[in-house]
Amino acid sequence: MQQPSRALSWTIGTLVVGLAFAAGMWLSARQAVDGRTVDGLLWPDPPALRPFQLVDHDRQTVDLERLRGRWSLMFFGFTHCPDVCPTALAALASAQEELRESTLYGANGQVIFVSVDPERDSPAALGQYVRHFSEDFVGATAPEADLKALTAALGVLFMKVAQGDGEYSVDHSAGIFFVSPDLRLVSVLMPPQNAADIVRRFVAVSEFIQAHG
Amino acid sequence: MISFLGRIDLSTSREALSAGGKASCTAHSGSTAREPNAAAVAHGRPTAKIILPRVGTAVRVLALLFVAPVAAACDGLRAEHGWIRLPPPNAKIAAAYFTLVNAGARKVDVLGVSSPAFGHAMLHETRYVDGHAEMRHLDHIELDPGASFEAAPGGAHVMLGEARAPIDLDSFVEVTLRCSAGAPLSVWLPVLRKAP
Repeated sequence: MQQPSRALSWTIGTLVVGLAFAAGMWLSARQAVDGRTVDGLLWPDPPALRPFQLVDHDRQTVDLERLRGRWSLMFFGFTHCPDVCPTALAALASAQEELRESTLYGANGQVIFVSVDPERDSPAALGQYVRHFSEDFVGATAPEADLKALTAALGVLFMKVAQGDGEYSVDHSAGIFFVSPDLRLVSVLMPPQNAADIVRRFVAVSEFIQAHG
Repeated sequence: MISFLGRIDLSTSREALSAGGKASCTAHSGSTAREPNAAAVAHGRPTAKIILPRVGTAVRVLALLFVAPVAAACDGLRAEHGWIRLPPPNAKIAAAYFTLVNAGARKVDVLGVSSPAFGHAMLHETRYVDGHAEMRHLDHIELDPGASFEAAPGGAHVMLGEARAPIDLDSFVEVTLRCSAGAPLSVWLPVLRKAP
């Protein structure tokens, strides 16, 4: 990732905020289908994922086939993130414990933490990081160009921001992305998230997709 | 001076540091009146826990006044319910959370933060802009008398970077706040998996 100039950063930042706001308005719409209201459901046209390829913390490929036939909860972040990412991953770990009891999530549902900071997050570092939250979390990343094949399809945005100490942080979309077993993005849970909200959203959305998908 | 306050319990007691999950505070000005065992626990030395004698409240207040530092740490600021989220193994970065309460009579500005366990520390704030997370430096935190300020997950926090040693579960980490008035305020925060 190249560090954009300050003016360019502002331009991109403004664009990002505008797009995020539009996306937020869109996503916050309640979907009423068959008399039921499902919060945050992207319906009737949930975007289909396009082919992408990441590498996981065991250096195995993460692509569409890895997501097919199971529910995937995806979160985008980076390991040098002190607050947002640990907070979300801790909530996801608690939620997943509960979701394992749900038939639709079951034993093969998965949480995938995608690092948008491949420069600092090697597969080995990602492995240590995700296992801290849950033994069966998947950590994955890829060079930026490959990452964007996935993030563009999901509407995920990320941008490096210089810190005063010569280090950098990464502003990033902090939603939890619910990908259905037929590879469609069916919901995004906006931050801040807690375990109960994640479980509630999953149950509502997955039951709807099961019945109408 | 300690013996003036009461007997000294030489048992190493971490509970004394953080009863009920609260961060304990000690003035940097050298007064041992508040939590004399804090520094000793962190450095693995035998510690002394002060137990006030069973005397009247007035006597205790008088005794504390007698040994109180000339200037209260951060002019009367308190840090409560503090904790640090246990960072993943080998992570060099962590976040500290607490509630600041200005129990003093004057406005206090928290101007900076540091920790001997980390190479650098900054006051930060996470902002969510329509689902987009941004982390930004907080220049200062201003508290009027009686005001409080919560640093909590997904919001304001102390960003701790470049850990000098692994941060262990249930250990305590010193974080020091530098303020516009008074001596720096050191708080000893327990390292926990989740908020107390």
